[in-house]
Amino acid sequence: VIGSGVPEALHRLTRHMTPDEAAALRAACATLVVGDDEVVVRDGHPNDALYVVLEGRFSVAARVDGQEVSFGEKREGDLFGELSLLTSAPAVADVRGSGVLLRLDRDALDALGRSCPTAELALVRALTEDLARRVREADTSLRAGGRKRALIRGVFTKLLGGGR
Amino acid sequence: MSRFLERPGEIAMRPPLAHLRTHMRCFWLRADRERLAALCDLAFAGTTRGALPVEPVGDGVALVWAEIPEIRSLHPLDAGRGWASEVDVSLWIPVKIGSRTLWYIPWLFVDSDVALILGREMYGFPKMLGRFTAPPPGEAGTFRVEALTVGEFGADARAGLSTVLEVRPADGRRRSRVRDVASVFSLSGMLDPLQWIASARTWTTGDRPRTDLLFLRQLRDVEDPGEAAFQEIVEAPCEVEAIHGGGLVSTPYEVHLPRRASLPIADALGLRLDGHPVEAAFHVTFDFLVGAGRSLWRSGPSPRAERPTAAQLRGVQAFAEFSEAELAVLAEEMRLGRHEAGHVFVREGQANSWEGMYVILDGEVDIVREERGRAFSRTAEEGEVFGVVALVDRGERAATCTAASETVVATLDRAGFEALRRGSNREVARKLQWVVARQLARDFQALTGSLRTWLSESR
Repeated sequence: VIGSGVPEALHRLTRHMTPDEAAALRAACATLVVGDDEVVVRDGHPNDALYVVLEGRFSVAARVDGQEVSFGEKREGDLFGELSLLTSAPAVADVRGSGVLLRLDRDALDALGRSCPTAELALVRALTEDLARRVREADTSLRAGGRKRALIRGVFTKLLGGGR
Repeated sequence: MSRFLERPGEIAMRPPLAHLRTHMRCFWLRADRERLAALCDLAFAGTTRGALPVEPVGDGVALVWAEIPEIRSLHPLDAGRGWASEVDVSLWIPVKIGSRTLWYIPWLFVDSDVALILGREMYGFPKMLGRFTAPPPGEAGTFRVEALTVGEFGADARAGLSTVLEVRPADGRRRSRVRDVASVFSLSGMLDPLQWIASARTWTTGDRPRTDLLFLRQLRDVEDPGEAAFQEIVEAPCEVEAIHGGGLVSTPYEVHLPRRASLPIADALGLRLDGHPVEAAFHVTFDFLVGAGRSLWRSGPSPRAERPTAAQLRGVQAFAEFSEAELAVLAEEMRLGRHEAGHVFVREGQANSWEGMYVILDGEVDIVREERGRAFSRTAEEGEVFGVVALVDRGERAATCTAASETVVATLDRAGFEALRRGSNREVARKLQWVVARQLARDFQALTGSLRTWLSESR
C-alpha cells in the first residue's frame, strides 16, 4: 500500500505497512543523487545503510581471486546494503552506478524504531522475506546444476543482483 | 467415547440442522494468496504436524452475510423442541485437500450466545458474538459488524464494542457483473451460484448441491492453557434443499476493516484496511441443511510440553538484547527438546515442516546441504539458531539438521512465531524479527562466502 508521496520503488519494503507507516519510512530515508559511476558500497568495507534504487542503474561486482566478476545490476525498486544493515558485517560486493537512491542508515532506522515501531517491524519483516526468497532462488539454481563456473555466477547474480 | 452430559432441558440442536429461507448476501474479495496459505497452514498443517495439508485454491475470499429466520433440528430427539433465528457473518476461503474443494471459515460472527456455544462445541465453528446493522433484503446500504475487541494492546487497554467490519456502497467502483460471479466461483472450483439461483428449484435427497465447510475444533488444556487438550479437523456438509430467488447485487461495494489488535482480519488475509474493493456480489434466498460433521483428523494423547526457562535462553547470543521479562514471554511460546546424537531434526526437501526455528541450548548440530554439496555444510554450536528459512517462507527445509552429540534445543514453531509477532509485547515482536533477520543475513553471507571459495577453486 503506497501512500501519497511514497514512491512505488519502495513497494518491496512497504508491503506490510499501512500508508502512514510507509510515509514514516519514506521520511526516514535520505535521497541521494549519485553521478558518474560512483561507488556506493565497496566489497569488504563496512556499510551501515540500506539503499533502494529510485532511478538509474547500479552494477554489482565482486573481486574473486583478484579478478573482477560482474553479478548483474540493480534497477528501480531493487535494494542493496541490507545485509550490512542487519548484521554490521562488511559489504559482500561493490555496487556502483549513476542515479537516484533512497538511503536508510542505522541511525535513521533506530529513529524510525522509536517514532514508528510498527513501521520498523514491518520493514525488518519485509527484508527477512526478501532474503529468504533470494536464498531459495539460489538453492533452486544450485539444484538445477550446470557448468560449475556459470552456475556459481548465476547463483551469485541471483543473490546479489536484482535477480534479473 | 462416553455420553455427552446435558443439563436438564438443555437444547442440543443435534444435526441435521435445517436453515430455512436464509437470505444470504455474498461479497467476493481478492486477498493475498500467500497470507491465505499461511493462515491455512497455521490451522491445518500446523495442528496436524503436516498430516493434513490444506491449501487455498486461489486468492479469493467470500464475505458472507446470512440472515437465517429459522433454524431447526431435524434430529428425532430435538425436532420437537423449537427453533431459533440467527444472523451469521463470516469469511470463507476456498481451499483444497488433495483434489477436493472445501470452504475454510476462519472468522464467523453470530448474534446469539446459543448459536455461538452450540456451533463451537458441535463443529468448532470459530464463532464470536457480533452486533449487526444491514440494509433490508433488496436494498443498498452499509453493512456493519461490531464486536468486543481491543484496538491497541496495552496493560490499560479496555476491550470495547467497536466496528470490526463494514461493507459500504462505493460509487466510484465497478458494478458486479454476471461473468464476474461465474469466473470467481469457477476459478475456485465451485458451482456458479447464479446458475443454480436461476434454476429456482427444490432438490430431493440425493441430488442436492452440496458444499463442505472445514473447521479446526479445539479445547484448551486446563493445566497448561498454551496447549490443546483436544484438537480435531472437522468437515461439515451443507446441502441446498431449495432456492427461492436471488441474483446479482448491482450496487458496487467496498469493505472496510478497522485495525483492531485482537482481530487482525485485514492483515491475516492481506486485505486493505480502508476500502478493499468487492469483485463480485450476489444474493440468494434459500433453504439449506447442515448435516452431521465428519472428523478428518483427531489429536491423540501426547506428553506434556516442556518449555525452556528464561535462564536457559539468557545464554543464547541471538537473544542478548532480550530483557528478563521478554525472555519469559519468548520461553512461553517455545518448547524444549532433548535428543540423542543422530537425531534428525529436519530433512532437506521436507515439506510442511512445522517446527520452525531451533535454538541450540547444549550440544552441536550438523547442518548438511546435500543438494548444494558438502561445501555448503557446517556444524552449528551452542547458542546458534537454525531453521529460519522455512520459518519465514513456509517452504521446504533447506538442509538436513542432525544432532552431532546429545543436544538440547528450544524450538519456536510457526504458530508460536505468529503469536509473538502479533502479540501484545511489541519489543518481543521487534527483537524476534531482528533475530530471524540477522540469522538469515548470516546464512546469506555464509552462502556468498562459500560460493566465492568455490569459484576461486574452480579456476
